[in-house]
Amino acid sequence: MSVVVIGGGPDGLAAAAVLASAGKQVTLLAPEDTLGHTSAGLEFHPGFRHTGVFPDADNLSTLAASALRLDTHGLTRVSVHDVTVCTPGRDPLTLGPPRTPALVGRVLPFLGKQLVAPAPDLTDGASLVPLIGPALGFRRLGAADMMELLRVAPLSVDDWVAEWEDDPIVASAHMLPALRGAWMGPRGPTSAGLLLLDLARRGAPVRGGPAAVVAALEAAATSAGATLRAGAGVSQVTLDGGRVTGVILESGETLAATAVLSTVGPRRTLMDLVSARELPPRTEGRIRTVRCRGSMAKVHLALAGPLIPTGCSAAPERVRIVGPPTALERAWDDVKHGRLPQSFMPLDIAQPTVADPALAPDGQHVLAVTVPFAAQDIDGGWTEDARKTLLDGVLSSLESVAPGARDLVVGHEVLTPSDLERTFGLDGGHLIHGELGLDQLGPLRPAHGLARHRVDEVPGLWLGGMGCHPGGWTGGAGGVLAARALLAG
Amino acid sequence: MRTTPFHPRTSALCTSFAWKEWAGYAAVCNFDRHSEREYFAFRGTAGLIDITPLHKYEVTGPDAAAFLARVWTRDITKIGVGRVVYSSMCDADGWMLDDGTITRLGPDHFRVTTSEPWLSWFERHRRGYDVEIRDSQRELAALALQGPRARAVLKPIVSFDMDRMRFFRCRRTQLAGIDVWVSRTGYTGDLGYEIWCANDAAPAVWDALLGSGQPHGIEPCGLDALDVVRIEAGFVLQGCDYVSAVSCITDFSKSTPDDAGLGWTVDLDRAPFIGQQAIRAERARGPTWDLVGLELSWPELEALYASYKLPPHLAPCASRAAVPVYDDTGKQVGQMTSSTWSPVQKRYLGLAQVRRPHHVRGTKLQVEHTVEYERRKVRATVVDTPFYDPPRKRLTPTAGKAEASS
Repeated sequence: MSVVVIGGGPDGLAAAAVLASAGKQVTLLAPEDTLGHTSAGLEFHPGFRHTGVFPDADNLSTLAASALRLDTHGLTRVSVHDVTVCTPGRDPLTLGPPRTPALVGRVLPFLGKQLVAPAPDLTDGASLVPLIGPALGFRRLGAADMMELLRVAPLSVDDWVAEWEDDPIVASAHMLPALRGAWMGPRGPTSAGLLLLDLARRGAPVRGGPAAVVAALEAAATSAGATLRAGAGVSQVTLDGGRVTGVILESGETLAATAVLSTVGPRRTLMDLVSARELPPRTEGRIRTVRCRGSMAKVHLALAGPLIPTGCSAAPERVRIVGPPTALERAWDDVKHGRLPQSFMPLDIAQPTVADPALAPDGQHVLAVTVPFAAQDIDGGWTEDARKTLLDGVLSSLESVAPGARDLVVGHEVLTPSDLERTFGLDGGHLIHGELGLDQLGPLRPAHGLARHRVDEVPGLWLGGMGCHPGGWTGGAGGVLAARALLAG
Repeated sequence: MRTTPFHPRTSALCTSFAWKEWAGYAAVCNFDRHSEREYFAFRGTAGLIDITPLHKYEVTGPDAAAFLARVWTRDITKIGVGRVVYSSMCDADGWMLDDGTITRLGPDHFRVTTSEPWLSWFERHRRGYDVEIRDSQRELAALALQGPRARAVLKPIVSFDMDRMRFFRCRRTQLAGIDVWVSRTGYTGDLGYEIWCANDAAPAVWDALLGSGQPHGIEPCGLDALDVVRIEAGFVLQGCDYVSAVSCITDFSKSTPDDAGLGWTVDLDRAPFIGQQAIRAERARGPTWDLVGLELSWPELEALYASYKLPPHLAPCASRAAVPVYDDTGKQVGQMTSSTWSPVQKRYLGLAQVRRPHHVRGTKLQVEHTVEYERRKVRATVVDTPFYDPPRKRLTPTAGKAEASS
């Protein structure tokens, strides 16, 4: 049985490694010249490298790490990163663990289990047996915690965090990760549920960031015997009589395969790689409405010296620049209305050169800035002027907590959602291939009937990656689960 | 409610004031108090009926044929220019949405007629096809000229030699100097044509046809007469003999093409089309229903009424009231959805959806019949449709019998 894996990101590599370990003949096809997709560490300015466009590797799934024994392939963890929280006019502080109620400690193991297990199948006629485990796990939380979980999950993260955190700046810093990849601001209903999931996913960060995850996965896949081909973009998944027969590459080369596992996004796979004339209409109807609107931008800055916010004694590795929750909601409003940021821009920043000075020339630094609120479609489009305005907003926010930061900048790369779409083929410029929301999670990710990675109406086609269960920010779990589903039948 | 471009003519003649809504338009039920004269025009001379309210779509572009083949159950790519086909349209689960005709007016130009509006359905499934779809319901007027004298009525006023036009063909020509399309199609099961023209030319086309038809006994006709002749012809009516899946609340009331007796409109083994997988799976399992013709036993009906000391009493026009159909043990096996007394056949006929194997020709069934508010049963036999099928429907004078084609 020969399997083609499409996509060279962590999920594709993890899937290839799992499949090859099981004795399948695996060819992984990655469109970029470098493996890793958005997790690849690339030079963005002469002499300056980032560790991946993907924001961080703090949530590397224990599933991928243990299934593939990534520690034997050079993966090392660091203790939890200190996050420095800055806001204009106030001394920075180090973000402690969230002072969440005891409930959280009790429900996280339950949620975490759901994130490493296959999604329950809720389609008609599906067996109810796989639901017994999660149902019992939920029941075991006890009446009080069950009710509390059911109360908290639909709340807005703003309302929930306000229950246990009095300082609005600290509250904002805790909320920010929950909103990544969701189409909502802190006042969006169910965002509290997303924060719970984010807490359940969080693990020890990987030394070297996403690029290090890629290196370990690449080593695992290669040693398992998978063939990894970079610079081999797929233009079409070929079908015959509705069944997958292989792929056609952008070069025109055809590759026969008994199964194709795609990690480039479920919507892109079904709507772009499978011919519209061959895609069964029921599957088309399911995937067509998947929401995939990018709402984050990434800015990489080459700095002549370290970024040291006022009041810090040394260059911090992680910085969050936030205002109170109202300011986050305002920033979200701009995304919702398709506007350029109108006011103060909250930022989530990594300074990878603090831990790894080799990423930049001597004494110089790299700043990887995640702009959590930047619309995919802004009025007038992402013109050169609009991108300059975005960069200027980023620099103003930096300047507001670290005067002089602007003068340190010697080079930059701005990746708006529209750039991400163009450069990486991300549907809607969405970094994790589909918005996070309670209606696009678990048995509903990417869509009802597709959560078990198998496309029932297109035998031989399998969906993996961040657009599938268990969702984004996990580094490889979607690939492992998809590969296991394929192996199971 | 809208009026059609023929309204100035039809309203002047409609002495009964019997109108009903058809796809948003006012349509004549019968011009007289009763449809008898119109019925005998369809069957004996020529009937002229305004069919403008049909939903009409112009589908154009290099992929028009491939797109229509995706949406309809017939392989539209195989249809030559100038041909018309009748087809079914299904959803992804293989349930009937509608039936209609597709006419290839040019290599990249098709005209589609349906009973319900489907523009959004077409738009939703056009991804991947270079095609334009335009709703032409309001820009095209249409008349059906149906009956044994239809060709004789058209011949003197149409530029094209009507003796050469074959069954289910369409061509652009001139009628009394007016640009029209004439197709040899219809909903009466007899020789007949449909004439399509621009709205502003409609009254002149009407006048020319009535003028030319005068010596042949042409009559303007309404929907009540059409309903009788279409049952004689064995044609199903969406919303009556089967219900479009979009209007159904449960799967029970939905029908597949095989359930609706339209399995013959499915070209199954070809490029993927909507409903293909479901229909293939259904055929592997064996379809559940079929749509059949029923002939009710007249002697038994007479006897039934006699037991109430009444002469047989039938509705004055076709009935669309669905009534239960039972097997000879009294178990309900289906429903008769249309029925009528056929004046030319002197038979009491119905169209019914019955569970297989009760669809087999010759099967004896029973149909509910209410007399004096009491529900009784009358014996009925499964018979072939069309009930009425004169050879002239398909024959073409200059082509000879051998060349007659479907």
